[in-house]
Amino acid sequence: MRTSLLFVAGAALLAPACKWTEFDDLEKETWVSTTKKPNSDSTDFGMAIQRGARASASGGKLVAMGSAEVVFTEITFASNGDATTSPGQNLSDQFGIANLEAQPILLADPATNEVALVMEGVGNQITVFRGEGNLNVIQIFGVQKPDAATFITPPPRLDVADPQVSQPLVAAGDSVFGAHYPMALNPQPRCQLLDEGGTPFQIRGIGAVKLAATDETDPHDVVVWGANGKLLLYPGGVFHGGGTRGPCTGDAHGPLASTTPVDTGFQPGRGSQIVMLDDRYALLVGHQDVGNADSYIALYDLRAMNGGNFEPAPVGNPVTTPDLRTATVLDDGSQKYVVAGYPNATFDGVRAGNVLVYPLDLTTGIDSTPVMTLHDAQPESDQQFGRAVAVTEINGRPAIAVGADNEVFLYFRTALYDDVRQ
Amino acid sequence: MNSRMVFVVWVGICAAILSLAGAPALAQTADALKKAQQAFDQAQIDYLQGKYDEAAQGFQNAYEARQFPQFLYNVGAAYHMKGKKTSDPESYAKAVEYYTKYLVADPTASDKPKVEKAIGVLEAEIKRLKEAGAQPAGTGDGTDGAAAPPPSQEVEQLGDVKVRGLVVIESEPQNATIYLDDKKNGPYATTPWSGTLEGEHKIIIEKRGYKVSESTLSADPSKLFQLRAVLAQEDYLGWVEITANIPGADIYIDDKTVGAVGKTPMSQNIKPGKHTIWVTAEGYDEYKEEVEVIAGETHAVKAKLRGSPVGKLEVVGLGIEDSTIYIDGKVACERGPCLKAVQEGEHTVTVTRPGYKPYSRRVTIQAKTQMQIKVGLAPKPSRSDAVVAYVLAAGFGGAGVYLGLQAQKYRDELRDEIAAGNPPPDPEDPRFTKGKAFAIAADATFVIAGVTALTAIYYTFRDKGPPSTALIDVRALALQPQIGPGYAGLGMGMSW
Repeated sequence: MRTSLLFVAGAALLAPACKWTEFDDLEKETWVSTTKKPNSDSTDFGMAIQRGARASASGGKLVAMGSAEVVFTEITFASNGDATTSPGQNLSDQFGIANLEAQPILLADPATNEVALVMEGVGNQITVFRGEGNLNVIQIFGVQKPDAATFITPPPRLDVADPQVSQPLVAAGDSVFGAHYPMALNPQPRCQLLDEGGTPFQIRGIGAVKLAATDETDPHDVVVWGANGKLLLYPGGVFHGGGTRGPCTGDAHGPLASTTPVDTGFQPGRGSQIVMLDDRYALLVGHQDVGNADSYIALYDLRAMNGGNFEPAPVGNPVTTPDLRTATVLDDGSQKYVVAGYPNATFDGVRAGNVLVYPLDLTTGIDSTPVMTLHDAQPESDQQFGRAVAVTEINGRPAIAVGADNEVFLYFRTALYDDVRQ
Repeated sequence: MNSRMVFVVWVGICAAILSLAGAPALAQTADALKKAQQAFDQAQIDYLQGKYDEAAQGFQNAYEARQFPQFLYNVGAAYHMKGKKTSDPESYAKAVEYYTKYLVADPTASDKPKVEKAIGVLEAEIKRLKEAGAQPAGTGDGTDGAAAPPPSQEVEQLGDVKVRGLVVIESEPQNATIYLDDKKNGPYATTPWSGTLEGEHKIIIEKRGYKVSESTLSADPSKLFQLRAVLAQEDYLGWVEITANIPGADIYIDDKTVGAVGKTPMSQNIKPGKHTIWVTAEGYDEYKEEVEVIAGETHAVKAKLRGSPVGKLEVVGLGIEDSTIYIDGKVACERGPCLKAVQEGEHTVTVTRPGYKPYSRRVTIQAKTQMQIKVGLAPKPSRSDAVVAYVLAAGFGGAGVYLGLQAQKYRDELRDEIAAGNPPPDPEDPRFTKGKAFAIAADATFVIAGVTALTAIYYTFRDKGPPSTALIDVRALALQPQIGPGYAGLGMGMSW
């Protein structure tokens, strides 16, 4: 009897015990994937991330770059969200290049699965690593540091009848350089861009847009955001190979005659970007150099007309939340959002960085009130959460990728959309 | 007329003669008692006035009327006092003569040693006076002025003798049973009876076929008191005589709740009809008999009490007066010390006292023995350790609940955030680790609380400190039925 009493008492005491395994189960349902640096070679994993494998059917693929040892890594997600990382391609070892800049230019070709890393090469050259899975190198001699780059559909080559394919166009200083010649020339053919007054200017951002062209094979025009704050439009055809390699070699060109430059009122610093939308809208992502936290995100309609000329027109008001580093656009099919990274922002008392998600409407512009703030659940000082952002597609639905110090976060489900894991 | 009819006629004639002869006999007895009463009263007056010769004569007259030995004693007492007053050897000699007659008439007199001593003293005094050539100082009435030699020191030590009163209880008819105070005390004597009684008593006289006579007697020890009960016939009653092999056994009739009506042996009138009679004695099985009483008839109930032989169990010890004693789980004595007759065999004796550890022991009682258990109850120890353990268990339990709530808080928070996705916490969210740690800590604390609680329960029930003890002594005991004029029961004698 007494034994039974003790047993009952013991059972009663243990009844309210907790199941700690619940937390293991919950952990599997966090809908966030975190990928640490895959090896010891790269000491600054997650410096740049970009969507790879656009044609992915079920899972998705991210391209992440490490800095100190420039390692190209692909993160592949299965349909259930499980991530695998490629062994990585050590570009420093292979090509003898130096460390990445603080904001390296990593492009995803909107037309193919290729990506392109545009960076300072060894000696007086810019190196463009391009490809899918295994990168090939294209060298642009005569210049050292890239200021901006974009994939464009170039004009037909005059020397060979190769089909037109998407190619990186690199801007450095006041000139742009085509990267679509496999054989490097020294110096590389260049086109100096002049403003409407015939004055060269420092280029901070370029984007590809088709203003009047309707055929897919027609070359892109180029929108340029100068350090003087002006937004100008240039004909893509000037980058075709004329002369030895094209008429642009050594030439200078002014904006398209049928366009009117617009002063955005924000003088972008190095690393500012133009993110193109629907081949018509330009999302200007501007920030200043180190020491100045002024930031600028604005949407411009490049096809806006004024007096028979194309005159880029702002859509809505700019968002000036300081310390912006980079931004991209998320489209869940019914609503667009600007996903902006603020790696120096303070969250929960820690200067760890965060990512703000602003609603984006092509007719009213950007809502400056973020609908969501992404952050690390365990913020660490100088974590640089949000120094790179990308949107990839998992199981046909968007997912936000955020780069941080030696870590890449992928949000399979947020308040913006349902889960994309299966 | 045959011989049988002749016999019946003769029996009838004899009965008639006897009945006619009985009435004058009773009347003569009453007259004699009356005569003795008158002589006694006068003699007592003379005695008080110092007229010892007249007093002695009066007591002699009373004795002649009714031969009660006390009268002879009083005659001796009168001569004794005369001798003492006059130092008359002759008076002393008469005193010795009548004292001796008294002892002859009542050889079982309770004062026999005292009277014998007085005889011895007086004989010595006679001898002393004769040797001294003493002459009587007077006539004995105290009026003579001649100086008498003083009595000896031994005579003085006997003191002045007082005449004795007498209680005479008679009934008509005689041979009725006398009960003193209560029938429960058992029969006292049968009529006629004479003797001394001191104090007030209730006298119950009962005889088969007659109504019970009850009266109160407050006898003067110096006077003759006679109680004469004329019993009226009670033809419609029956008569029951209850005996048992165990004298002094309690008798219950019809209703046990009213208590015992008497002790064996007992006989009394009883109404006709069906009656239930129980006879009980400690240590014996109860005897029960149903009797159909018929008016005018005698019914004998002979109870044979059977039972295991009994022994005595005595429980004593320090503080026993505050203890309760149980034998075989039943309260034997609400307060000690406790002495009970118990049947031979094994019994469990338990002694409890508030604030003390109980003492319990299984003992074997043997017949005709008395087992004495001298208990020493140990105080109940403090349960402070159990209290501390309970407090700790409660503390650990509370801590477990707190930790569990913390774990649940993290779990719910994480669930909500995962469900809301704004943003969903990542796998490295420290709340997973914290929540898990809280849950494990809660479980561990619950286990500790459980173990502590079990320890507390153990501390509550464990037997701490020295137990209560007892010294057991067994003595041989002789039990024997005894019966006397005023009592009946079991007598005991012990040896060890």
